[in-house]
Amino acid sequence: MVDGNLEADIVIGSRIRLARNIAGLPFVDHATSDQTAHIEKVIMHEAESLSDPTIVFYDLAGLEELERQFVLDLERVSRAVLRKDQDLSSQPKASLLSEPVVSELSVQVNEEDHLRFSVTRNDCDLLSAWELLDRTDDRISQNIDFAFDSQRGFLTACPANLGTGLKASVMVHLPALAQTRQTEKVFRTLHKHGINVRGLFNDEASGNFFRVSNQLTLGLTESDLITKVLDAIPVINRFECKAREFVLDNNRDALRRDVQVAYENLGRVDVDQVREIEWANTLRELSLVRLGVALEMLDMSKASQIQSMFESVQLKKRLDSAIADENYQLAAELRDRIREIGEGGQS
Amino acid sequence: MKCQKCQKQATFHITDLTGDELLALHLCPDCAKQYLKTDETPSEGPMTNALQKQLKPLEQAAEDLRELDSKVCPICGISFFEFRQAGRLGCPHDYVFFQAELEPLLINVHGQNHHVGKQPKRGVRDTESQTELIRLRREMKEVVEQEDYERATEIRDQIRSIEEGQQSG
Repeated sequence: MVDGNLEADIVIGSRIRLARNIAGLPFVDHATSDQTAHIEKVIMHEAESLSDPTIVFYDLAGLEELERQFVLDLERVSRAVLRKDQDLSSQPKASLLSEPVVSELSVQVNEEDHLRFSVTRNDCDLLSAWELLDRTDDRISQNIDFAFDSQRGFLTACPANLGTGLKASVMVHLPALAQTRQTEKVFRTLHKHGINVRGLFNDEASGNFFRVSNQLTLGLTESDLITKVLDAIPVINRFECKAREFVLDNNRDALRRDVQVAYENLGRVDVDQVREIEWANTLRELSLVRLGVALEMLDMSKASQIQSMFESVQLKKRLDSAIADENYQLAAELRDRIREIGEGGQS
Repeated sequence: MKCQKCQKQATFHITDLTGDELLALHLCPDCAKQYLKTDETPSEGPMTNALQKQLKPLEQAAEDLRELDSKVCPICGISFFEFRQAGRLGCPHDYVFFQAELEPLLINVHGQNHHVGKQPKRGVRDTESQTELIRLRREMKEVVEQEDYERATEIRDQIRSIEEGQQSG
């Protein structure tokens, strides 16, 4: 469906998740600790039998701090869990700039539903993601009875996920629509067609990044829901392209200057300066660089370089707080990862 | 005809296009106004929106609301009030027990109320025994708290026999 690089200019990544609950047990919020332990045991047992090395499990309690932050950054954990976890509530800096390079399957146990599993990709090939997810669902459900009703479909804790339990989303970058203040108008139109668009981050400064997803989960097949989301992407892309043309026609020189400044600023970022980095500003600069590459204002052939830049900036931000917390073990891990990315980028 | 979202007389008959499907809605003037308005204001999320939409007319009839809120699922013990507060249900049986209350909500959020997606690979089990399991496990917790271990023994055996029946079935 995606032809050429047009959509690639706006697409950052995509994800599909399925929500499932085990039959004969209350939903997580109303389950006893024995029951949640039982759920975990049952699901882990099934998952181990998949013997699939690509599956990554997130047992939040058992995660090392670095991994945990990484998981949170990928927004695989909802705000509700964040609130439950005292350690993390103090710094809810979830962000989603660095997507895994390959498609990745992750499984969550006892979050809002007993089982939520998802496939994340750094392109928008949601249909391939669905194939993997569908297959995994079949395999996990070989020995587990999921709460299911022939009329209502898969029963979920929140009625908004009822039926398929499927949420397909594409993360997009729409700087020109945001700059020309047209996002509301475009999103309202999409909303009428069952497409939900929300800001990717909560703070205002990062208003250029959005998540496009299916609003409803019941009454359509899984592939129809996914197609609906995919069909919205070229539409959004057309609007963004028009807005970019408008910005270029009216503001080319100023934009070129901004892009250049942002690029230079980001290029100067290193570990020693990490304390000076202001996250909101960094995001704005990343957005400008991404736009600059798309508009061929910057001589940077590979968008992957920005990707690593995104990642290392994010890591540096974490390094900053690790140093502030005097957690030097974590700081050392972060330092090594930042170096790895730096070396990868130069080669 | 009654309004699909409250108990008033439906005077508005709206046909809306959701995806490729035509959706017929029968609403009272207040709910129709709400329904048409929401398209203009995509806010926090479909759930919150739909809940507000559904409950607004109810708020005008405080007594109805109190009655509705005090309805408690005999299986998991959640009240409709708790669901309204949290936006989450207590157990799968709530979809049966609160069916009348949830129906308009589902129509609001999804525009449909019938699943057409994939089915579990294993045949769908007897939902009654699943519901009974939830009820028994809840009762078990209560009697253990009351230190009534004799009753707990009985319940444990009942649970085991249902579970064994499921495994062999």
